[in-house]
Amino acid sequence: MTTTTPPAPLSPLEEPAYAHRPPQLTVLADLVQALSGIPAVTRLLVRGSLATGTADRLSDVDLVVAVRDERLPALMGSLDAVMSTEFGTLLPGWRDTIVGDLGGAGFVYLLPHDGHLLQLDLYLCPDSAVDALRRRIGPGLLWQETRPDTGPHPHPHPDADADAQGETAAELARTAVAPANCPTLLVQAMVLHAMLRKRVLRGQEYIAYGLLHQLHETCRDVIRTALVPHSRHHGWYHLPDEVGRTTIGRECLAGLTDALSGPPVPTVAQADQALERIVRLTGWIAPHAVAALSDEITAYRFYQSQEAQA
Amino acid sequence: MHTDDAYRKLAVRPHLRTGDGVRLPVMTAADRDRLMERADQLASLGFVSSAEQILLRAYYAYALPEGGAYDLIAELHTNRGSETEAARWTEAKKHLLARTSSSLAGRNPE
Repeated sequence: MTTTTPPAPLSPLEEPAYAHRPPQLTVLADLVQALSGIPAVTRLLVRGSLATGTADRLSDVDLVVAVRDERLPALMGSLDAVMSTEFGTLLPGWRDTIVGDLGGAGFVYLLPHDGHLLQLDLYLCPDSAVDALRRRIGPGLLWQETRPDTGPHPHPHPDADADAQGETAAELARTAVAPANCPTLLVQAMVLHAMLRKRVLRGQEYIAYGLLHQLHETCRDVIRTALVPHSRHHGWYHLPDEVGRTTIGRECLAGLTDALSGPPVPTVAQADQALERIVRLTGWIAPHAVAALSDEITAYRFYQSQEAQA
Repeated sequence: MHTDDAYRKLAVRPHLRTGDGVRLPVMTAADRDRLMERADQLASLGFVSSAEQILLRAYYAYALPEGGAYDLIAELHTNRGSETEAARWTEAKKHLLARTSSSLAGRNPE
């Protein structure tokens, strides 16, 4: 749950506008308040529909967090704990593979807010790369640190030496290609499902098609990761040969074939079935992953059932 | 007593069923080191409240001795040279577990 203190004083006309502002703005204000007090953070920038003023009730919160280069790996490693304890995020962050490479790393969180789930996209960017990011996507500056010696944040940061930049870039590259395990893939499935439901509800069929395809790929990756963890093959190649050698593998392939036989653009109910299929298959072949995320899966289902009733 | 929806659901029945109760594991030295390292990293970044929170959550994950989570937080602050904060959590432990001298003597604290 998040709270913010209203700016004072508000005029009588401003008060109702403040009371009925989009929930994303409340979350954004809380993020700025929490992160602007952290010495490793140098700038906060907003992008997406909140920056352009086109947000609706389903819009996500897109925040770019500029971090001193040498502190970025530590912040990245602690981000789930911070988001969970400070903001009550529902799941660990999913390493966003949809956002383009902007020099950092994106993470998607699902945040319960007023009975609904908000999507929170955090992009951690090394401070040395933020100016290039701003030139590419032009996010709006929300906050920047003021240093007692130099005043407002200088660009680029003078402390960001070449060694720190190189080490951080190497760490970002290493984590970007690290193989996912089954719990991570389950988190990915839930986040993709949340995104998919939103796009279906908005009638954005092309994006919904792409997200459903990613959900099917997640199903495939769970199967391959659990049953053939040391596979040298990627994607769809050699899947029947590798997985179909056992009875349970053939049952998994039957479930995957069933998924691929559905319509390319799903209804909400079909999107729900796609997620439940992944959870069910994972329960067979990687029960430890489902057990480790048991509370999270229950909570996620609860919020999505609330959305369905709304 | 701390109650929540899960507790209330259990409490409507007079007896527990098999599987209702789960014995929490004892925190090993390795678990402890890993948790304290995570907390220290959070505090080093400036997320002191988060560091304290993840140590408090150890209460739900491990069979700690009474007040053990507060001891972990006090130790975190001691290790970081924050004696004032360490003392604050030591006092909090005494207060929350009713270990103050006044409560031990059966008197209400002022």
